[in-house]
Amino acid sequence: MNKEIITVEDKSINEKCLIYRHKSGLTVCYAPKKLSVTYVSLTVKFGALCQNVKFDDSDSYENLPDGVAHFMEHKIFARPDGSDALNELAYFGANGNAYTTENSTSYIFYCSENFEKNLEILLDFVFNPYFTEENVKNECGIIAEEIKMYEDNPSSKIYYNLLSAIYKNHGIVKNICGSCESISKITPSLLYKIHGAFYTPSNMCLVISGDESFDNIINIVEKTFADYNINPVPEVKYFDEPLEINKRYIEDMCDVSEASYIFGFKLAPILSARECEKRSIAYDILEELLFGKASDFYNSLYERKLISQPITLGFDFGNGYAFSSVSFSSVFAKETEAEIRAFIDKISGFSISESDFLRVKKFILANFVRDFDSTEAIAENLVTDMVTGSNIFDCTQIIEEIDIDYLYNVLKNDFKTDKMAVSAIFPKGEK
Amino acid sequence: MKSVKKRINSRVTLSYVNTGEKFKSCVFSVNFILPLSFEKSHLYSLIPSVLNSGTVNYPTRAALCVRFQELYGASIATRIVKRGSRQLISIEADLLSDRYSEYGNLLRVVEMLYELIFNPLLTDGVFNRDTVELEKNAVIEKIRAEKNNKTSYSVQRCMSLMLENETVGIRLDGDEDSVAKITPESLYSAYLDMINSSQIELCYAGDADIDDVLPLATYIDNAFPEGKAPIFEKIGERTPREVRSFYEDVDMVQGRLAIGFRCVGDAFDNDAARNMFMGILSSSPMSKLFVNIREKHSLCYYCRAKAEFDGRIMVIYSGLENSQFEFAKDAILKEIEDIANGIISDGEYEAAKKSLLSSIDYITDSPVDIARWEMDRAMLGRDSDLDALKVEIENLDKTAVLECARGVFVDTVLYLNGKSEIEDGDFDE
Repeated sequence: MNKEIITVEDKSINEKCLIYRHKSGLTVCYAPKKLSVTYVSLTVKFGALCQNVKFDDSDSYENLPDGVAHFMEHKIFARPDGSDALNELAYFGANGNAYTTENSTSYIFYCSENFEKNLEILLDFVFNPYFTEENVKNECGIIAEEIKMYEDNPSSKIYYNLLSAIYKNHGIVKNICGSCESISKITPSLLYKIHGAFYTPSNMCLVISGDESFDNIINIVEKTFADYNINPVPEVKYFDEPLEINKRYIEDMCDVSEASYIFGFKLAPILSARECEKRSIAYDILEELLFGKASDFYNSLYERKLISQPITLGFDFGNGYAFSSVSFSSVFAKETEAEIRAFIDKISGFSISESDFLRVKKFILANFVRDFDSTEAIAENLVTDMVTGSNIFDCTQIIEEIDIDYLYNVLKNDFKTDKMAVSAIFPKGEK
Repeated sequence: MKSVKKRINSRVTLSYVNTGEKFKSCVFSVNFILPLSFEKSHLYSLIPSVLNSGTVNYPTRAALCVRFQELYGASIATRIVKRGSRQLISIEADLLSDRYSEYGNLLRVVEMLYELIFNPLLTDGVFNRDTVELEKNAVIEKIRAEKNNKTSYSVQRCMSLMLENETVGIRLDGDEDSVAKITPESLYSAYLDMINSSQIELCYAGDADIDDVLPLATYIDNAFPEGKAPIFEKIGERTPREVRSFYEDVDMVQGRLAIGFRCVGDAFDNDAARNMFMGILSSSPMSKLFVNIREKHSLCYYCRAKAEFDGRIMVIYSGLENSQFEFAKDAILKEIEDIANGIISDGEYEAAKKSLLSSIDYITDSPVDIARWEMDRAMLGRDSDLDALKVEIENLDKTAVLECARGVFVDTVLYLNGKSEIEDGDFDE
């Protein structure tokens, strides 16, 4: 085969992927893996944060209804004969699904047979949608129930409350599903307009991990996209967000058994994908060192019955936002909150021993290597790479690069109390 | 994929699966199989977390955690499940193969499993009182937290109402009262029971040669005293009874409907048939509940079935408007009736079959899933040959699926009222 194929690899763990860019602009990424099940993701860089868009025929930005990317994800499976593309995939032995994030929408399937047929089905339904007044209205009922299901979910509630405390203008505060009101404004013509503008090969990537023929994959892509050329996508206006947090504290009540807290710290957006990756890994190491089961602090709280579940340290980033977070739940809310607050106040002075650091790094590296035992994990990591520009085959090098001083810098810079917002949920009637 | 079974003594068997160099990780697990018991199941369930709190040579939770991190992040998971009248307690090490760590890593992890299981930290001949109290507290908080997730709560609550005072309804964690009554003495006595009189299954799935794994199994086996494997009672045959309905107000937005069924007849002993029944009804992407209840009627975001056929029970659950409860219930029952009457399209049947075959292949793609499958089968005394199961599914007589549908009878209907005030018409523009 005479194609320009780039190989990206990490020889230390004997893993690689092959990347091919079609003339239509579609990026095809294949990670060979001799397992039974092949995992496929077709991802479009159109997610919940694409809220203000300047379409070709307009001089101004159009404000899209909240939840439209997620609505598209649901409805794109509809076929003109009234059937559902999920059924077609199922008929050929594939389990199909889809999900929407802040930055992208992914259509996936996995199968152990008929891979090529299933790939053709995937490419066909994603690029040939069928929206009608009736099927759009029908979907509103289903998504409304999904929205209500999340309203009963305390984790979802505390998370979105935190975002609204951290951010003043950023669209991340809006639920990916939208609201019952916003989705009622979605029409077939709007879906077609968005699809035409964003669901173009040059704005998408196809990621495959499994034991397939890359030649055959490329042949299918060439056949499917023979008539496509690179199309520019509309400009998306992101958000003018100040560095200050919106408010310091937000609370809610739920029918739950114990209080939950998230302390969120607003960070300046990080522009380099590699730095985001490095920071994410640093947070994984720090989570173990600060709050892991081997840590003095966790065990001190656990042994006094202040907590019974892990304390988690998070790092989230995307278009124009980045924040870190510390989450925990406790029956003894005020006492635990005071202890964790005091710990965070002194976090920049936290001392890391060389032996703890090396041990945890070894553990993080082992977890990373184990991820390569799953075609799903490999493909999903590659999708993140395609969307954010990171590179999983660089991770062992990044883990190697991280030293204690880097962690000290993260602790010093990422947990400033003037950038901290707190979201809390209390059991009804117990506050 | 076929495992090799080695009987090591009258109570202990090793299941060995050679995965070749397909994976970078491997699994070694020690499994205890015991009869479900109102008096003891919750005690057995608590034992692994007490063992994980400290041993003679690693006396704290932190010391144990440090040791496992040193062993290339070997993770120790506890898996406690029930099937029919049996309870499985699995202590499972998931670790990097020696190829990707260093020679001897598997041996050292197995030594740590031995340390965890056979060298618990004792005070005055029983488990440490403070440790037991801490772990009891964690379980009680977990039981109280069940209401936090309204979907799983609706299923759990429906099963509790349906199976009150029945062995298959035993909650593995127990309830708040029974956990509160656990003492270091009663827990240690249950531990001795578990060591001395359960059926023991060891399992390895990975790239190590059987000649290297057998000595490890023997090393673990030597610590178990000789004894007799327990005798398991068969779950008594179910009989349908009058349907009972329960209405509860819960502080939540979305209403939840859970329908509990009793499963009657030998059809449920047929693995291929009962799995195909579940596929056609719920678990295939083309299933009747997904396509008709969610998509066609547009009633809900999810409508699924969950079954424990060895215990002869099934629950169908959904989240929807209160006003749609009756309509949804009738529509769900109609789907089961359709299967019973053979109203299954070729597409539905094919999709369920392919989904099931693909999920079997999926098991072979993970050492953890392979080991769990082996142990689930060992627990029931059933053959674990996945290729044989695939052949059974391929050759299945469709009427066996119909027999399953004919054998499910509604027993308990639970309506949990939500507070949503949105009416259907709100979506009209």
